[in-house]
Amino acid sequence: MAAIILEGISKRFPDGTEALQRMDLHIADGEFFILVGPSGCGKSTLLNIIAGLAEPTTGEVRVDGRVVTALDPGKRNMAMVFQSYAIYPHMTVRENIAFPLRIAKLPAAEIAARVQEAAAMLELQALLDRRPAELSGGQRQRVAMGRAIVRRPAAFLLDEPLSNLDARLRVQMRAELARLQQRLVTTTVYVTHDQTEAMTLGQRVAVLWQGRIQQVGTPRELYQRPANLFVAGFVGSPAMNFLPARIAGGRLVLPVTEIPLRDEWQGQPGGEARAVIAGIRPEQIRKAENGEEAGVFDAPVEMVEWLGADQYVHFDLEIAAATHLEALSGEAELTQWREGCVRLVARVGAGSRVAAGDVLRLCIEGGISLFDPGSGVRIAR
Amino acid sequence: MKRMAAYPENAFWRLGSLLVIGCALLPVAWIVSLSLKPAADLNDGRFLPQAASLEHYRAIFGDAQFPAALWNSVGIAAIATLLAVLLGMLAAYAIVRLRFRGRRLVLGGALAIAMFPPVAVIGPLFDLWRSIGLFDTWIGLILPYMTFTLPLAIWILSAFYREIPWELERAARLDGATALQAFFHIIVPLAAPGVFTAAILVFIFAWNDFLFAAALTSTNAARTVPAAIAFFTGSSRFDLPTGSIAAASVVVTLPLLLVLLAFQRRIVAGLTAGAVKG
Repeated sequence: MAAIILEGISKRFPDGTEALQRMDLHIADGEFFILVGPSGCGKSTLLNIIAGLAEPTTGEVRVDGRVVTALDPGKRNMAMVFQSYAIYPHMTVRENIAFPLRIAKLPAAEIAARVQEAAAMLELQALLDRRPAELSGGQRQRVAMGRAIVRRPAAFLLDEPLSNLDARLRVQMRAELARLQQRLVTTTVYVTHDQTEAMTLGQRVAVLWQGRIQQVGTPRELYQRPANLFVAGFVGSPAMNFLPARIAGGRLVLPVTEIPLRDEWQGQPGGEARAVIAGIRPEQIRKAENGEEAGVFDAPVEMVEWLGADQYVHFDLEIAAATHLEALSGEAELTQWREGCVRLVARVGAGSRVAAGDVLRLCIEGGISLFDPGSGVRIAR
Repeated sequence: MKRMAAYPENAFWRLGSLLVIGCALLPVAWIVSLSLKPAADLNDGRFLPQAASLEHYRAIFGDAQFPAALWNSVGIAAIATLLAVLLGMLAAYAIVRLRFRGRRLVLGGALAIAMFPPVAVIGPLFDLWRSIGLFDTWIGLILPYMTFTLPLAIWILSAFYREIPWELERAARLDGATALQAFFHIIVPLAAPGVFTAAILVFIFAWNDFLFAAALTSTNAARTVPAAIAFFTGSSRFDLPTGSIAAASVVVTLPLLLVLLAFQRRIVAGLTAGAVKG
């Protein structure tokens, strides 16, 4: 049980790379907290700093008010599950799980009891005398979890624990992890590059990119109110669509259509006629009803993805004079913009039959996010 | 078709192996034969002894020199092995895991020592040992053996350490182990094949060495078997101690043979470790 507070943490490697740039993070006691971002964003470095495997260049780490920045990793009472599981190949499952307790010199009877308890929780009883080489990926994953929970640590640190599993097992283990965390109510910091994991598991999520925290919030906040273009493009699958647009006369003028702005957009600083980037979720583009006017446009279908419950329609729009947006999108690692052409995705009902080459009449709904084209930051409200 | 084609190739390799083994074992067989021949038959030129006798074995063990030399050999080789492997384990670990200044220099230096011809240091070492009182002592032999085998131990062990995932050690540290506990509980057991390989190779070097043993010892206090054999005398000054030498050679080869047979799987694993990743 512990609240973890990071203050002014930064990390610069000896070769000069700035892995983390001054960040503050408050992780509440018992919280399931996710660090998510593309590879190389610094999330693993941050986890290592919390674990004590790496030392921050500046700043301090506090656990329950106690500064642990210089404390040895073994003395922080945190348990970590590694991407490779890092279970000891020369020990049986039982010995693996018992290892932290043996090191702590607990009495043998207590070790046995706690190993049994952990094994029962993870359904590992039948495998206790096996060696790691004889286990499947999912079982190894569970052994690593067992070794973590047997210590009753103040916090769990999980470094991409599911990324070595196949897709089906991943979904199953994801649910198991969530259940386990709810049962143990132990502060958990979970690192992943997979936004689906982040959204489904986390109570709160921090999105990292280029060594900076882009946004911290609940999955809902991240999805509905992304703080900038990067978060908007990173969270959600399929990704958000971006279009260059203008605010003019109380309306949002998109290259293909216009929609009336909600009241809250009126009277923005900068007044009338300002350029923006409109972020539109695929589910905010639907098939237009007959007789609808606002936000309607025609699009030639490029590709159709039919998933049973959903159907995604991909189409390209040619947009002139979007060069500076291209540059910005390159910076934010958005992939939809290419050579004056924007690829959009719309979610249409799975029931309607759509084929590539069809021309669809689509309609953009409200609730669009708007971003500043210069900085990529969300325009408030 | 494939089986047919593979057959002569197989036979070729088998025949080749037999030839090599035969060539290598023939002198050994000859020595065993000599050691069993009664003194009178030594020069009869037959490969198989007409009558077997253990008189040479009795003779070498009856003499005070040989048992003392055997004890010296066992003691010196064992201590040199233990120390070289222990130091090698720690040194190799530091070289593989830690980033410190002069890391390459240490590794390069170790290699340079291994390349250095031992015979070039014998003279100076003889003078040095005499003036500081290490001449004809166990330490006087253990030190040069360690010097010349440590590079080997370091190279073998560092190849093994490189195969061990770094995360295992970090996991152990998070599990509450100190750096030393992580090393002995996790790293060493995983590098065990390497430790065995290094130990056996170091042991063989020390056990078989003649150069240092002959030059740096003068009495039964520290003379090892290979050197002692050279000092065997016949029953008269015109008599070559052929039988005793043969018997002593068999006696010193046996323990080595047993050790090698017991650990041959591990040695093979050790010698090829690091060659292929995975």
